[in-house]
Amino acid sequence: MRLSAFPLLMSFLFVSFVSAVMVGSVRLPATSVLMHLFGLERDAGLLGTVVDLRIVRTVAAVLTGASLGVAGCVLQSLFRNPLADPFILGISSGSTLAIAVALVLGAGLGLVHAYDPYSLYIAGAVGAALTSLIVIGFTSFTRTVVGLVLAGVMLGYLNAGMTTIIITTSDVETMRAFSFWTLGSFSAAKWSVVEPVLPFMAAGFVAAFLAAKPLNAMAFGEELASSMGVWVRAARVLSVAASSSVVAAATVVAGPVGFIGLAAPHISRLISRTVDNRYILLLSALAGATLAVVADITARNIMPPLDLPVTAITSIFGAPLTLLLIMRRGGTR
Amino acid sequence: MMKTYKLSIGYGGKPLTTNINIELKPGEFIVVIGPNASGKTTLLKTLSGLLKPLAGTVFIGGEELTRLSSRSRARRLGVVLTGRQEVEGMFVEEVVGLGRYPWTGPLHVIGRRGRDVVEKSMAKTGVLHLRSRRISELSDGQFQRVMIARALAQEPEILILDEPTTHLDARSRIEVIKLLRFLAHHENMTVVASTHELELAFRFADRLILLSEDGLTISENPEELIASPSFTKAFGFDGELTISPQTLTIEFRHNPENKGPTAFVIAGGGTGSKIIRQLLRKNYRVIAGVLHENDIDYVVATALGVEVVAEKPFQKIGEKTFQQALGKMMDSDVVVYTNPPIGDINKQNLTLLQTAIQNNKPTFRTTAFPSTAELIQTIQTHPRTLPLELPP
Repeated sequence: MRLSAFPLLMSFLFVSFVSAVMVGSVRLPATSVLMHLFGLERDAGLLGTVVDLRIVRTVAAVLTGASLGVAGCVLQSLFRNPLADPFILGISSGSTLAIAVALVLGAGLGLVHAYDPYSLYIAGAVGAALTSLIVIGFTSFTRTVVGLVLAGVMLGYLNAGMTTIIITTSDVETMRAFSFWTLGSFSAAKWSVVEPVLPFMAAGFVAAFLAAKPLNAMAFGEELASSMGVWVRAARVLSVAASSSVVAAATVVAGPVGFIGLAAPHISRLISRTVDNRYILLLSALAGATLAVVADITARNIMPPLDLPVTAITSIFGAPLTLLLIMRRGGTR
Repeated sequence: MMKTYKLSIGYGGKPLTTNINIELKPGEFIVVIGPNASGKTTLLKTLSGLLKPLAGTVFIGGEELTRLSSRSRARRLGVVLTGRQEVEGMFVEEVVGLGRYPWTGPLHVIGRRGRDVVEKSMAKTGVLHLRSRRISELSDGQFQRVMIARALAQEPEILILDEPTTHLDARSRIEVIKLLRFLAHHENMTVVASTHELELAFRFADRLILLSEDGLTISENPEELIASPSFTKAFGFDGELTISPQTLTIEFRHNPENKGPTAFVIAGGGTGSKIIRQLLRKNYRVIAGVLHENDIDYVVATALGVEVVAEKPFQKIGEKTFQQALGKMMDSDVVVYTNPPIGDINKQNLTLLQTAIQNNKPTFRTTAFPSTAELIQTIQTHPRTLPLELPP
């Protein structure tokens, strides 16, 4: 166990956060960004507006990344599968589908006030939890690492297909806004969306942290865990609830963002040299946040003035990583 | 103390064994034996509370096992399951620390006493020097001892292990079994383990539980169990396999209908066992003689299914026995003399050898060859070219 992993990742996050606010179509000096961040000096003019905009966006990236990192860590331990990730297992797309249903059908029937973040969040959480349960159901049929991933990917396609049908049948305005959101992006981040999901996210983090102890024991299988005093069913419910609540928060804020949940726990284990979930959860939050911020910087600045969906960037790095992980294990277990 | 009352075990509603009433005391090492699919694992998992009984009750202390929470159950009962879960990256000390699970709070912070228990558990199982190694780097024997240390860290009164010796080499097997017996006898635990190693079970267990088609038999002495028909039937000790009640060893009985050439082996005092085994392996039909019934060669030869011309213990070889041996020797293709110690009661064996040489039987003396392998080779390739002089 290397405790230096914590300060290391925290400084990475800080540096990437400041850089994210600095760079863009208007480059801002580091000093004014830092002054602004620490509340020492506020520019009331255009500069201040730009800074505020970028801060919201970057805060959204931090929260989304941290959520996905935590969810990935919980899912990898729960399924004892190093390839588990909310995006790969179709959980993010399950959340997206539920949000689409709530948005289009709910609003159409007058049940949901359009763009009400609470209703969307609840829908997203339910969608994520239901998909997780289906994936758990698959574990009784497929025992291999890759088998489960394949089941998850198919589930993801199924969810995405249904989402497309629902979106296409909706009115043009919703369709345009929603289509971009389903690609995964922080560009639409607003305080009015970020703020309401914060308590849910926090609750999810706490639940995930409480699940760390049983998840550690479950590394040796559920029977042995039970013999050590784990209430296995409760631990599963807690894990699914924790990952669903953070995945839903991330999805509401940014849409389905891929591969951060996969990479963050692996990076954390690599640099901390431990697999203890109590540490890996915290480190995954930091690593996930950093990855999301870096991905967002890249998405905004790689082809200016285009603002690419962030999932485009995470996929380009994440998909080869997944393949690498499969090849390293021979895909057998 | 553990007790069962009218316990029925099985999977998915199908009972394997019913009406089990056993009492397992502290300080006892109990070994469960039985052929594959006889329900050893099911019994152990039911006793561990990992499977629900189909009927009846398991009591631990005075309490019903199924009524305990998993936490309080884990404080009284430690389990080691068969097989090796591949867990990457965890350190030995962390794994043993997981055994503190039922004693720690929601964040699994192991206190000072807990760290002491972890340390002692590792010391008892002899894995203290491995504490900072990763679990995936260990040999199977080391892994097993770490898993036992982890169970001990729960501070249980009862330890249940499913086939703890599987996949281990001979030395690690003995070490694990000795450790389990030590824990029972010196830590006053109730230790229950299943195994396929009958010879180990017979040598180390305080009590044996046999699971077979006839249900559950519990026995204090192996000799008695070997004699029981359910044991013989369960393991097929009525055919090619034999188990000796004297030496508690398992032997493979060769087919007496062997069509190969016949070798008559004049042995005694343990000089014949080696060559008899070799000849059988080369498909010879072996007749041994004249052996006394208390001779180790007699025990080995009969266990191997070899035909023996025998005399009663400590009796001079009688005329009738001698004539019988002579007849069989003259009918055989080769005669092997293994240089047994000759005394008053078996000196007729020398007469046998003399007769063989005089009658020009191909006769071989084991001491004339540097190794048994060479002797066998000579017998096979030059069956008639080596007349031998008499031993002094």
